Amino acid sequence: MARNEALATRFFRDGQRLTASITIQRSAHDLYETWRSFQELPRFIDDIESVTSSSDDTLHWTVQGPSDRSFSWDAKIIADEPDRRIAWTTDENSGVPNAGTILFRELPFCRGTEVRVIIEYLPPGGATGEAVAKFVGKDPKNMLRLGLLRFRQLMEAGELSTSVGQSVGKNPRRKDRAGEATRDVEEDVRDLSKAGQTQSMAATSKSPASPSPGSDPSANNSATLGGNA
Amino acid sequence: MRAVCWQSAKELRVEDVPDPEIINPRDAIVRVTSTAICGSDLHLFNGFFPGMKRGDIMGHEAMGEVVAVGRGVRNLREGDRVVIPCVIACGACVFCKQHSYSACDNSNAKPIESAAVLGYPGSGMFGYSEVTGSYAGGQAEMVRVPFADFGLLKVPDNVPDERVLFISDILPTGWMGAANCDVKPGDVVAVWGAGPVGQMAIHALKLMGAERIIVIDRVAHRLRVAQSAGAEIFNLEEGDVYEHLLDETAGRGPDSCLDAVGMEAHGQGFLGVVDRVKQSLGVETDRPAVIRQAIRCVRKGGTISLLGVYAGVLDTFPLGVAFNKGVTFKMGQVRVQALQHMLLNLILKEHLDPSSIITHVMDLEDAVDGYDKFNDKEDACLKVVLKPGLGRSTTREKQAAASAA
Repeated sequence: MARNEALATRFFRDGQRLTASITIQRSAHDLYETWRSFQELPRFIDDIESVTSSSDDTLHWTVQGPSDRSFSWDAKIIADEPDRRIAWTTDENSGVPNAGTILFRELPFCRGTEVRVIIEYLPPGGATGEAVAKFVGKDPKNMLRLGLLRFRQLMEAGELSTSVGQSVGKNPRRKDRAGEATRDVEEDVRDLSKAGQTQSMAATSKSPASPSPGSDPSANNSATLGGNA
Repeated sequence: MRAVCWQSAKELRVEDVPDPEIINPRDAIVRVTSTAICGSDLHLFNGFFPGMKRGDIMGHEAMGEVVAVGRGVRNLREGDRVVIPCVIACGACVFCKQHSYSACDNSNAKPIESAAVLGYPGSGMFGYSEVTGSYAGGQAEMVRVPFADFGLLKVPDNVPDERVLFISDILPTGWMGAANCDVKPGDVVAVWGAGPVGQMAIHALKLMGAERIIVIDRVAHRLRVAQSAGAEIFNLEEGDVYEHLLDETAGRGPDSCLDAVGMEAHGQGFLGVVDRVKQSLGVETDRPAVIRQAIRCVRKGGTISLLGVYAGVLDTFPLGVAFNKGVTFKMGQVRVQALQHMLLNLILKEHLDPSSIITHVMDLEDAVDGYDKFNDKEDACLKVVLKPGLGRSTTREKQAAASAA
């Protein structure tokens, strides 16, 4: 089965491996199509500036690094099974060696589609390592998880939930005031998780996305007598 | 615009803040005509709940008039009169499709922060800290409403604010608590807590056909309101609750017990902070005692409906008694959007008038005074409604004083 094979595949002998998964109420086909273009990724993964392709199986990634520097690398798509799996990896000589796989598995009985992402990268070291460290955040698992949560927001709700840029009272230290577009997730999580079970992470919010067909304005009428009544 | 902004524990301030703007396509901006202080706002006011930042706008019970809509909103227009559900729900995720709107997967703008506290990302909510997405609240002249095309409840022009405002939170909360009691003909229901949510539950239980409703509290003026709504009352300062309930039911125990004492946290369900909450409130509300009492009093095979925050007290939880009695527990955060249309109909057809619990109508500018009165239960305060532009510095009291002078 493609999923198990993909989970077993290792791209780098000494690579770090991250996995995250989520269930989304859209067909595997819709999710695959959105992901396959790769151009959509910056909408829901904060630190990715752009992913462009010059041909059907090449990807040019640009990621925002520390001190507003950008880092780029080329990767190529090494597996592409429509509605099931996409895998990509950097060129052998890349300064930022990394690879990824995304798997889609539609559940029976209209239970949605399981989406599983596996990212591998070589441990950071030197300037290129710095870029990777920034790319994956200080808690890379949280970063990946947030990306998937936002992917679901986009695919189900049709827009990215945000409270950045709304009205707040006087507080010069805040970064989420009206007109300002950054917030520090790392700081928030550190404040909130006194117990220390959640690691901090860094991410930057961006301006909201435009709607997708996932939004259903007519749904209001169906919200009458619910399960509790 | 003016808004009630959290500063630090016990410190709120009515401040000038920027007007809200449409950020997302499914947003609307509502000009607030009435907004209320909820028992759960007192958690934030007293500093018991994490994730508030200086400048956060308070409030999750509000209504008003639509003044702007995003380009994704096609079922609302400027001038529509609306009630704003306290729970923000996308209407499209798996839980929304099952009407469990308070479990919405997509509405929390800060899911990672939320999971840091709860262990899972909770739904979005207005004015309730980073844990529910840091959305600006409704105790302001205007409020931005995300997913407005799904959540906002249109109400007719001819019904006063006071009668429909509580559809935003406490009325469906009380209704859900009552519905969870699974009332059958002849049932006796005991309700702990005669605060705003307990009062709403009493109205709901009556409509659902409970034979007798026995309300337990220690605040005399709140018990009087419950009595006038048709409940029997018992002041726990005047005797033993267990003895009283067993005597009133000739040894059976109430068929259902509804716990609305946890009203300061009603509908939130934030299990991760319970220890903090319990620690801070233990003296005043004696929370573990209430659930122990309910388990002890409920009849064999009966139902206990929880509206408050209760997990985390397993060390004092008489699980053995509950197990041997075969008790059913029901709980959860209010699913406003599942109930709001039905509740509006009940109000319009005059089966229900939740406005009877309002004791104070104040200008938004006097919000701090309103919080103090509600928090201290002084001046027979049961429910405070704030109205922007009602008249600067004219509370009901001052109005009376002015007319007397």
